[in-house]
Amino acid sequence: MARFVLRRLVTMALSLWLIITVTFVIMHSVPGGPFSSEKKAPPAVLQNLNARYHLDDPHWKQYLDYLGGLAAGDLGPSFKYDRTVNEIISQCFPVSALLGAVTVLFSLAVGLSLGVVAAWRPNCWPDYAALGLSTIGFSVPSFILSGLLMYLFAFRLNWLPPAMWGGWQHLVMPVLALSALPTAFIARLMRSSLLEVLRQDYIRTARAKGLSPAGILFNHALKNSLLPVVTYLGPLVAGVFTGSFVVETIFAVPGLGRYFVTGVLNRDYTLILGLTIFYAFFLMLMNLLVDLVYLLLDPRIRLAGSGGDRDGLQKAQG
Amino acid sequence: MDYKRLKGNRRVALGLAIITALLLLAVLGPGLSGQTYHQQDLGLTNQPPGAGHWFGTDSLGRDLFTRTCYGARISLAIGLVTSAICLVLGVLYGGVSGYAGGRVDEVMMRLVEVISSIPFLLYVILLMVVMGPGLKAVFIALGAVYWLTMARMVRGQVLALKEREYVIAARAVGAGPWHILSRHLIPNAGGPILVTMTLIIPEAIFTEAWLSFLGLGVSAPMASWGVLASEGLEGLRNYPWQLFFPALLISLTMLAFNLVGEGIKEALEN
Repeated sequence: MARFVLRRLVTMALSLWLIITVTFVIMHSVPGGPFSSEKKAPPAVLQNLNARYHLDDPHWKQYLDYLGGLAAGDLGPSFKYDRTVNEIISQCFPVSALLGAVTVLFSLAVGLSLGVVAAWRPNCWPDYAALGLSTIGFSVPSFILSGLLMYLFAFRLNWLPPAMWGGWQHLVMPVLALSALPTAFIARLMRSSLLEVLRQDYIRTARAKGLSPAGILFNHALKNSLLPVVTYLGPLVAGVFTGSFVVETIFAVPGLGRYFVTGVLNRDYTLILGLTIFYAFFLMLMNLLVDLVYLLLDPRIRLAGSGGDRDGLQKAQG
Repeated sequence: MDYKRLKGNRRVALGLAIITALLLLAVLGPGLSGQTYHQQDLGLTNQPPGAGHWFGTDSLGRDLFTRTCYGARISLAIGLVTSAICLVLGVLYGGVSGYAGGRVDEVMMRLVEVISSIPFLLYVILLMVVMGPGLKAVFIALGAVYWLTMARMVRGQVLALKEREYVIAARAVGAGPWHILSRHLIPNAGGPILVTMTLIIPEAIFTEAWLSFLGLGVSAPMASWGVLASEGLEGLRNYPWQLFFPALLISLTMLAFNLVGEGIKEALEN
């Protein structure tokens, strides 16, 4: 067990280093710099700015300096915001994480229920209703859903404040907008995996010995059919907890998601690198956690080498 | 793959019907209204839907029905071209990786992993700057993201299929790796490849809409659905129809391609 975790941690470090290097190279090959989009600054000012942030050093030196800082846990100063990258993450991540946690819990509750209801009586009306709902979740992009929610709840019905952050009322619309897709996905995963499990011999045995349908479902079927959902939770948690640009912009949520975009748009080098590292590390950690949970849920799974392809999933764009 | 089974699948039929309708709208729509997509009429801005302008007008007085139909051309083209790029890149890369196996496979897959962890916006902006903004850059940027999905899937298929008897038989009679890959492995992975292609189309349209929301999509006066929707979002309180129509069409497109993809998948599994 300890060896497995250790091995994974080493692979993670190696992947992180590769990601940092490639991002660094691409980042510096994009024309323009953090100060080039400002109102035309006098050359002397630019020169001072570049010297202040060591942007006039050769790239290899900047790269080594960055790695040195990173080893000490310092992600450097942001070029655009008057804060360090560490401060931005520690201030904004809790907001996104709160929103993300509620979103994940909500998606799990609704998605799992829909999936179980659908699989319990396949090809009957509850199944079709669940399928229909999840298809809608798949079909509406998050920014459109956000717009429609805003129109309905804030402008038409006046039930909820349009765009603010503070109380629980401000959580409702962002959570709904964020959880549509994961809910649909979980419902589908759960349905197909529960159907698969219900076909197994041991379920027939359980039924033959007279166990009630609820007993079969809760004592035998549910635990085994949760595996695919658990796999999906790794990338989902990583994606949702680090925030979404669209939803945060539309609902004025002071989260981390917006910085993923503004960092790139502003060529805010340290912010780009810092967030990339943060997200990649978070994702890998979640995938490691998922593999460990797997062990608890399914004793048949042996500890083997790498976690396969799931380590590198794109930061969800929404 | 069993095409007969697909014929009876209601989901695929419904999806294809919607796609056909959307294609008709894209081809014929702009001719129906008698307006152009860039003609401005500053006396008739933000009109609600009515007889003269079926979907109303936008903040510059342009006919939204015509713009939405043109948007259909652009958005559908983005979906189809991205899917085609992914097909070529993903099948080649994934096929070679899966068939070679071992060390080569590991290095190639690690590379895929690294590429997918790099912020997508970084290379979109890089491409936009290098190629100049426009449709071509959008195609390539989206292709650069989604080919990874295809490569992973093809590699998995090839890994599983290459142990089959017919591959051993082909090798025994002296077929080279390229022949086995192109004549035996890829055709047998055809079903899942088709499913992935179908599902990439709505994803690409979706992502392009997201890029437009950031102002990185196709450039004015051209308008994809994403551009129209994000323009509509701005005037949401007073002119909600400016969001509703593009939103409806994007959602219908996503729905249709998802129905087809899921339907094919279902037919393959049963």
